[in-house]
Amino acid sequence: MLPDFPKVKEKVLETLNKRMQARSTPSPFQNAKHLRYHEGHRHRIVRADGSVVENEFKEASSKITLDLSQWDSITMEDIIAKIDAAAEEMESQMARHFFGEISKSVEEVGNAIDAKGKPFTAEMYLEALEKVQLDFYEDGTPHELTLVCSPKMAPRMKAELQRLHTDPELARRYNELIEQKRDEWRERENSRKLVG
Amino acid sequence: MSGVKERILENWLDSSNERTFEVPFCFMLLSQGYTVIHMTRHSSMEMGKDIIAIDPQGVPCAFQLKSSPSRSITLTQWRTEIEPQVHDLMLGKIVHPSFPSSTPHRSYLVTNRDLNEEVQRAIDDLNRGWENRGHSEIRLETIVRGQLLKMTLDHTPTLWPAELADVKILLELFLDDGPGPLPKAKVSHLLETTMGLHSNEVPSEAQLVRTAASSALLCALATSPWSRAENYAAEIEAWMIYIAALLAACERWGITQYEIHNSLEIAKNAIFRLLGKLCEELRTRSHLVEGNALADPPLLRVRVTQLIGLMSVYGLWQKIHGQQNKEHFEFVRDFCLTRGPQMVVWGEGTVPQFLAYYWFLKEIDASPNSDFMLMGLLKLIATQNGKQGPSLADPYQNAEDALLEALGFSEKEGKDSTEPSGVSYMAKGLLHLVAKRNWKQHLRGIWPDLMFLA
Repeated sequence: MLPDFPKVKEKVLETLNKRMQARSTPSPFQNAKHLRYHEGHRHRIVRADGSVVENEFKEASSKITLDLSQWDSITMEDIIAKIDAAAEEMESQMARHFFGEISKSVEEVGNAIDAKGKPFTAEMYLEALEKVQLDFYEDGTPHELTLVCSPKMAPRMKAELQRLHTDPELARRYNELIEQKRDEWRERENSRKLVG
Repeated sequence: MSGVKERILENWLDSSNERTFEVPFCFMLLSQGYTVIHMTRHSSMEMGKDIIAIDPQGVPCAFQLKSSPSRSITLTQWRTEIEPQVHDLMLGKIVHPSFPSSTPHRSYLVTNRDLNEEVQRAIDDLNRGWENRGHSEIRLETIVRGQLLKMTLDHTPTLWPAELADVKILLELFLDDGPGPLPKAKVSHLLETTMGLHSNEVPSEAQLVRTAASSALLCALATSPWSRAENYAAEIEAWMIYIAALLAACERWGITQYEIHNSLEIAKNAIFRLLGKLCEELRTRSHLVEGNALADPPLLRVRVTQLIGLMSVYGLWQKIHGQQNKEHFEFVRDFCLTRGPQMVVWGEGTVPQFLAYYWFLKEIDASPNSDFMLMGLLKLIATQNGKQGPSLADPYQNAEDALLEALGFSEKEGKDSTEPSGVSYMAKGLLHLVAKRNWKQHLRGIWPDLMFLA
């Protein structure tokens, strides 16, 4: 074998792995709670309402091809570009899977709202918010929500959400809804069974 | 402790192959009073003789070394692989200037495995056949696993490290995986200790000669993971450390090199053969990537620098001593000329590698390119260490640690290397070399930066 430097490689690979992990997780889920399964081929989720969902793991993968005959001209920047491309591919696979699963679950529990081709409005948002279980921080402020849309829809969404604060009627409905969600949250917290 | 020693030696012997136990076997012969006069380069001229030695009675002996993937040598292996070579071993004359070719020799089959009963019978038949034909002097003797283990144990009675810290070092080395660089500090400490360099007890000449041979076995044992991984560069470093420790012991105890000539020659021979192995590997490779390619780009030029240094030594060795394998020499020349521009100075520890290339380049390229390369190296050291920084890693730092530091992975809190250190271990020597080549005018350009160096 030719001289090698495993300690340096271990560190370089560690850095590349971290980059790959960070970039392959779809952005709406980066702050979501993660659970690492070390074995098995199925997982089960017990929801707050007691319903149980059982699923098989879904593989997200990507291939990196390196041409060793051209190695003299390969730089670390080239490797990083390949890692990023692979991460992007995995991100897209994961995003498709996550959103597919979310849509399926939302349909199942009847939380889906059909806009019937109409453009997004603040009223639609309030209607959706009504169906969502919202959690709060200890000081009573609601957990942030993430809205996922196509880049084309983003300006309209921003404008409509702005209306929630500028339109007095919408603001009143929004505040009432948040207050109602806060009460529901308090009730949930009070009735929560503590372990031990 | 002795139980551990026996287990380790047994484990080492069992995991060795004929390549990795050849050199230690030579040293075992030395300690038994043999004089080793030849080690194989695996050419057709050798006629089945891996090692040629003269026994204490002055009789020439030829040894053929064999190993096997299984626990013992089978009849099939004997018939297909060993028997034809054994005929050459027994019947082919030893052609060596040390004695006339008509001198009868003893023939040995050496294996770190056992011999199947059928093989024992086949050897017995072979010997009786020659005896019945009136040639009882033509006979195959065997040294098998049990005998080798006994030789090994007899060879190391006093050498086993006495201090727990040294045993720990030996075990750490012995249990390494072997793909990385050799932990030179550990190997060096172990050999210095066994050669008495850390003690004030003055050894006799005979003791040092014995120690020289026994330390070599310890060196082979401690570095066996690198041998098994065929990490030739690390093996070369191990034997270089052995030679350095041996020469240091001679100097310290006032013993001439003549007394340990045989040990030195075997170690040098081992290095030459390893360089040949490395060259052979390079010839068959289509790329120089090693291990996981994803993390390789920042290391490629460091590897190339080390390889050019080693191949330059190999080229020079062939050129100076006339031990020319023409194909190897041509390859080494092309390899060095093509890859030379990719060399990188990761620290002052690369200077010997550049120097080897410099001397080799002088032999194969009549232009002043070699001198310009040397001046470039001196200018770089002067600028980085003397004037603007960042300072190059000092020569006591190995490539791996220097790279970890350069890439920002080091956990050690070191000195601020972004500043020029104002110190160089190598600049003065390089300066003399350049001045001797009469490039004084060019040196003027580098001189202002050199003035900052201590």
